[in-house]
Amino acid sequence: MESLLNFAMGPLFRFCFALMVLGLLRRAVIGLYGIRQSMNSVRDSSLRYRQIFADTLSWVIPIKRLPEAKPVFSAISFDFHIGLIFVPLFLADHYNLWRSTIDIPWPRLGRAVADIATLLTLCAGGVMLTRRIFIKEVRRISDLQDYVILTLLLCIFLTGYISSRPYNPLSYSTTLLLHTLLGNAALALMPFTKLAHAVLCPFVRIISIAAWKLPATIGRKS
Amino acid sequence: MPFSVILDIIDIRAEKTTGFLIIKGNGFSTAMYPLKYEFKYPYNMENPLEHHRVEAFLTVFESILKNSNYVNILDVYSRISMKCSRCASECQLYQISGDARDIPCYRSSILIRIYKRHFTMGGRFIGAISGRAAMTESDIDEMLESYYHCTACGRCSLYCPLGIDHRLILRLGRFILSGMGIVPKSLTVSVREQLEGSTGNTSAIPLKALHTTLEFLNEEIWEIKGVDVAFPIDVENAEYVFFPPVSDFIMEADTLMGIACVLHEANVSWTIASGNYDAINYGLFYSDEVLEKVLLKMIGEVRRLKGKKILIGECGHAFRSAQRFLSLYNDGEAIPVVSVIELTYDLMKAGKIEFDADAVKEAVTYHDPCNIARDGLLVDTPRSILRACIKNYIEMEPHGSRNYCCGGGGGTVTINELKSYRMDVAGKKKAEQLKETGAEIVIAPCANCKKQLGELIQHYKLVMRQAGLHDIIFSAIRMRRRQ
Repeated sequence: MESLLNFAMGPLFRFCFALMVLGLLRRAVIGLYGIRQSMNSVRDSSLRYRQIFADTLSWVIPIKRLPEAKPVFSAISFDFHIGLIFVPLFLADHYNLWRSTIDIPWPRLGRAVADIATLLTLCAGGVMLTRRIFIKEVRRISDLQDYVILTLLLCIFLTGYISSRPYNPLSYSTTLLLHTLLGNAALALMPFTKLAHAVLCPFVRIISIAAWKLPATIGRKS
Repeated sequence: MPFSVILDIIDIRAEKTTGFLIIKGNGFSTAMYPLKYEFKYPYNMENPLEHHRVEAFLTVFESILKNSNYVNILDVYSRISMKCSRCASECQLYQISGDARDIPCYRSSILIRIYKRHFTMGGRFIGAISGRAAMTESDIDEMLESYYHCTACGRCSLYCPLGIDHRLILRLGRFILSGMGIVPKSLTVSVREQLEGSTGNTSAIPLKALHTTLEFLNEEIWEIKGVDVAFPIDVENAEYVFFPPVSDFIMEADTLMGIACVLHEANVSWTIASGNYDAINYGLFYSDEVLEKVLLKMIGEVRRLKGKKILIGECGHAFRSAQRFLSLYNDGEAIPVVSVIELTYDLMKAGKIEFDADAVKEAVTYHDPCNIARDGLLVDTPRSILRACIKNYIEMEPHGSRNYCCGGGGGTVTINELKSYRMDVAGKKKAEQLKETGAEIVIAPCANCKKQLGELIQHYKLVMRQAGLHDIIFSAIRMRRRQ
């Protein structure tokens, strides 16, 4: 078990992490290259960068946007993302893992703060999954990936949270192994699934506006 | 011959005499398929492709992808679509119909799924090993119906946390369908008349009738305002070449008279062009090719008359299509595109026109046409003009860029077969919104919106009437300049 755990937290983690970084980088580069290609094929390639940047920023930090539609769900989703980003990155227990991969100074979240953030993320994710299953309009637009990815993320947080608790029905090392394997799976899946929005999100608006730049003789032999 | 070999489609047609579907590409690439399926469509079409539609769809799709900038958005949208349903809660179609096909995210996902399955390596690979269903005939049925239910208002995109622009996917979907002959007849007939017909406009108004109409308008203004207001035609070197939606010449006399009075009063140099007096551009709704051709025709006419600027009448989509896309197709010197609303506002601010605010006593509300308000093009300008013309103004909620669509956008107002859907589903929210204002006049500076709102008022028996912005201006403007 110990050697398996070491493997999962060592070489496997580094492999999955590298896959994630390279995969997401590739996606970002393809997206930006696509914008450049689009602009090369049109006569008027002017873009209102400042407005696009302001629009994008208003959604990356969506405090003002949240109450516009479905405020409760939006707040839950926001809360889900806060935990999802900060707990894996800054949890004290992950410190060594990060330092062993990238040796740079790294901030750490206090245990209590991390616990609260984890619980909030679990609750928010639980609500989101329940909503996806039971609310008609969400169920109708969901496919398998929407359920699997969310469940995977919830399982990572759940195994991480209960691993060292006295009420954990499994042994500490089994839970930790599960937690690590699932976490690695999530990292590896990022570039290939909807999780890629983590890096593509800031490019969507500029990509959409670039697509409105229609090349002459579109759809015909150029 | 497999379809993937056909690079650039020249022609697709079902030949009933020979019993084959023939797809011709450039060079020698041609494919033939025996006809065997039968389909029914929800709206009239001229020569709809009825057989081997999947193959035809994929071929057209491939051709468009090669020559356009759509690949990038499909690639990105297919990876980031969160299916959060925020758009569903804001879509006025889904809120009334409750039909999943009316959820913007669902509608877009049909085309995105087809793209992933047939045009990405991963999709082809997974499809091959898992047997995941390839595109089917029912996908086409679903698209051709839901893509013409949507009014392309773009409200969903405002509420999408990731910024997915569903209007782009809708346009692409309609563009592909049009490439295989699936376009509502009302659109194709109008566009053919505009681009190839003898009258050169979507309402088939001959030049002689235009002259008669303009004479009539001149006499009307004389009778009402006591001023001889000219409607100049083919004047060279004018500051503005005026392109209204051509339907205004037969349906919206007050709008045109209001515009003419403003231009006369401020002594603006303008002209109507006899070679093209129609700003309507249905290409914005279903075909990038049509969009280009209509704009090129407009550019050609401005160059012929050596005009300096394009002045678009009261029409949402015509202004957006010219303002946003003209520069993409204009080879020569840049031609500024100005909306008549902007010009009137500037003239008002410069003190060149004045209004009598007591002329219109009814309570007035303003409907924001999606094509000029959704992206924030013209939101405050028309309101400033209205506030100067009238005293009793009621704002509807929501308004501005978040306003509800009239329910007839995206070209759907021209499709008579969809009228019951436009009335009972697409326009219901708007009707409720209008009723809540308690206004007696609803202003809509858009030919499409005017028609739809007029029909909604009749359908829901609302106690109000619709009018254009310059209809009100016509009533309120003070005519000081006699010659």
